[in-house]
Amino acid sequence: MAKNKVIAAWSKCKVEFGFTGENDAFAAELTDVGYIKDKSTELSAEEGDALQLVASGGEVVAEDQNEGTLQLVTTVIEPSAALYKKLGIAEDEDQSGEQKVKTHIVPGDVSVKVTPKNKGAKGIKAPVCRLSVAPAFDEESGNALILTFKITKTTGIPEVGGEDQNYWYSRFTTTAALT
Amino acid sequence: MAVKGTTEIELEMYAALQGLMEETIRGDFYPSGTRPVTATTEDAVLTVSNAGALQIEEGRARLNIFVPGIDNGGEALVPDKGRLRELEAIGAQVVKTLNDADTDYLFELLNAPTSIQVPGKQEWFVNIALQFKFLTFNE
Repeated sequence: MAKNKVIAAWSKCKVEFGFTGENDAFAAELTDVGYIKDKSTELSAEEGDALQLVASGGEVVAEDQNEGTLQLVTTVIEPSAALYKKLGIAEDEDQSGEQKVKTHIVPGDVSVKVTPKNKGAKGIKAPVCRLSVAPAFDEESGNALILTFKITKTTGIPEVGGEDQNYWYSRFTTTAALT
Repeated sequence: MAVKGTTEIELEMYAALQGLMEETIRGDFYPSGTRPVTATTEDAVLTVSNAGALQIEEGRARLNIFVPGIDNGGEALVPDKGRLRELEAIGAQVVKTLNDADTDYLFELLNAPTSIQVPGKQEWFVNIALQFKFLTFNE
């Protein structure tokens, strides 16, 4: 029997972010972060703590597993002044081309979307993340901005029919190849 | 599906690149080992040099585009730098054409395209070196 064709989400990708809407809705407006350093984008997970209730004699009578954490890291090459402003960590450049960076913690919750290159491959959309940025510079690669999205589960989506609608992230299928 | 041999990969790449080569080069397009040794035309030769045997098969290929030398009034022909530059510039288009043809493959340039003289001949070739990955588990 023929299996479904697997479309790999490898190679280049596009990373976009926007500010989370009301009730933890995915951002209505997204901004492309710009040129991403080759092979720098990575989604990783850390397993949550395992809890055990152990009775006298060492017998495990109850066990539970906490949800872990997820984070997406990407490195933007030569980030633009517009990106710094959009992130809310700096104002516009002044007339002399200088831009004052006031913080490296992006205020509020952000949504992130990662779109892989291949048509038909799976991307991800996470509606609620805490975003921190870390500037980097070296003589070999120039300026960079490392974006770390710590993905959290939504909490504000209203129940429907008594059913919890909150979630961590969604997976979507790309409908066109990135150019 | 399973691991593919280099000949099969080469023929799939050849089919994907045929249209682009017809538009780009002035001579003919050949799979490896089939260009006549006496040819002096602007021909392209595609060669898949190796491929691994893992679940994601990795390998290398090269597209060589031969360009005849030109007479500048000297004793020997010299490289047609203008034409070599034009052909070196199609590297990214070659990669895009291959990637658009089949999502089971991922092609990338291994090096920047380079022009090299054919040893013992007054002919040069543009070497477009490629590396690829192939998903072996799709039906």
